Amino acid sequence: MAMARIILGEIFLAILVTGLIYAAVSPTLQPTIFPRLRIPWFAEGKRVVDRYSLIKGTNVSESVNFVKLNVTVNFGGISLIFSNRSDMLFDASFERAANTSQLEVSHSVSSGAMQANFYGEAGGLNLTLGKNCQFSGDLDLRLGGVLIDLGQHSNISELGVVIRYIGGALVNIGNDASFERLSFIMSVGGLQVNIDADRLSRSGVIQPNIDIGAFSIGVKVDTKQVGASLDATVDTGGLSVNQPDFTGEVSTTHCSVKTKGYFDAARNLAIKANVGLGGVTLNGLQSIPGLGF
Amino acid sequence: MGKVENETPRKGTGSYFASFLNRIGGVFLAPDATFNQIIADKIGFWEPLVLVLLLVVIEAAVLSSLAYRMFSTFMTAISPLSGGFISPGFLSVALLTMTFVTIVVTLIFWVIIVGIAHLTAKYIFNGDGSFVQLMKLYGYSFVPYSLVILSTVLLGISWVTWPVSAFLNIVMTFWIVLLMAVAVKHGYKIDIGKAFISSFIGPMVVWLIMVSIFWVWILVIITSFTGGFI
Repeated sequence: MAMARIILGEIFLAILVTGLIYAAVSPTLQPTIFPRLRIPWFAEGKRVVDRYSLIKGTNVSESVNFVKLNVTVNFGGISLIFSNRSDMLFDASFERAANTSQLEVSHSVSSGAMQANFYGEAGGLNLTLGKNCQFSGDLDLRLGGVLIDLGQHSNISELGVVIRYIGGALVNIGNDASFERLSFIMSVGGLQVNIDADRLSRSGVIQPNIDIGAFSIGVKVDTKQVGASLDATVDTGGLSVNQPDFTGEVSTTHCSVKTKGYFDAARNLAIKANVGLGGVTLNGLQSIPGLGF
Repeated sequence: MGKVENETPRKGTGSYFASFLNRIGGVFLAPDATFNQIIADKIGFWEPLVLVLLLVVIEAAVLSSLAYRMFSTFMTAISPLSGGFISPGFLSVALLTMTFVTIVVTLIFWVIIVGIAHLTAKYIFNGDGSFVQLMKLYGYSFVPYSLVILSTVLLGISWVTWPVSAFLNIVMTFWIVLLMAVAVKHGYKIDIGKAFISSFIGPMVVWLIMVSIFWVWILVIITSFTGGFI
């Protein structure tokens, strides 16, 4: 009986030692193998860039003065900037994984107006627009980000940005920017608008509509030249105005503020925002070097 | 046979290690006699404490190694999405924390179930025994938990062994309940029926009361959110 007890005690110790050794070596000797996920639009490995450009007098008529952009990218990013080239209509580069579909571009010209269509499945689209044309159109994205840089060469009549699912947008407005209307429709995401301009080429309106997310505005303007206003409503959430140049009514869910001397300013920039669930903030803006203003 | 098992064996003359193995084996084969001998030998508190800690730490280590294997490969699989946000280092820290928490919870649980059994046996059934003595005996009662370690190792080697693992877990549960009853019986010199009530029914009743209070509390919170609809 005593021997049986000791043998059982030894078995007990053996189990403990086995457990200890197994715990130590099993991660190395017996790795669990899961199939590795491969997602085409996030795929690592070889990347390729599709390029497409239209130059006046080279592959498009010099009479084109108006371009309507119809841009759709399902997943990824869209960047829109203006160049100082007067002969260029646009230059598009689309960086994507080698195994995803390439950028599809088509255009048609009628009476000096061009309609340009871009469709990319997944990747980053950089659109550089020429300065001697007026642009309008829509940027349509399901998931991802949008960057719009409007400086002295910009010339936009109406531009709509739609982010259908989740994403963000950054808009930089610099000196002598020219646009009439920028509208944003976003389901879930954030929008940042930086206005760092002592002059604008014309008055404009920015209209964000965000279901869930945040809208942040940074403003640094010469109020004699640029009068800015913000009319914002937040259904559920908060709203804050921390820019000393702005005066008006501010509550927790609604604000209507204008820069001093708004109606006497040379140009006006009106922001009319609606946020469902989220927040709106208006702050001052420090000059950000390297943004191309 | 019962007579033989209830005899208190004479104190062993072998080395400490041999007597330790004898006690462990005795818990499996003849718990009555072994618990009597533990009480007679006035074994210190450290041996059962180290025993419980060893069992818990090793089981936690085996579980952690399994979790590490699964999570690390899973994280590698989804790394295109997560961007490597959850690193193996993070996992190691998480598993070490879980092990530490398991040890603390086990020690607290040990004190609570001994406390309930002690109160029941001593003040309801008028038994004669001490809390510390029962802590020691409950520590030895935990010895069949080694079967759980064995079952986890088997599961880790192959998922096919799950019926054996399930069987070992069931055996372990019944065995520990039985040993706890025997421990209370000898610790407080009461019959096995009262000991079973003290060691199992008592803690179960307390557990049911605690669970009931918890769910009533949850119900009150939900009701306050729904304006009394539920």
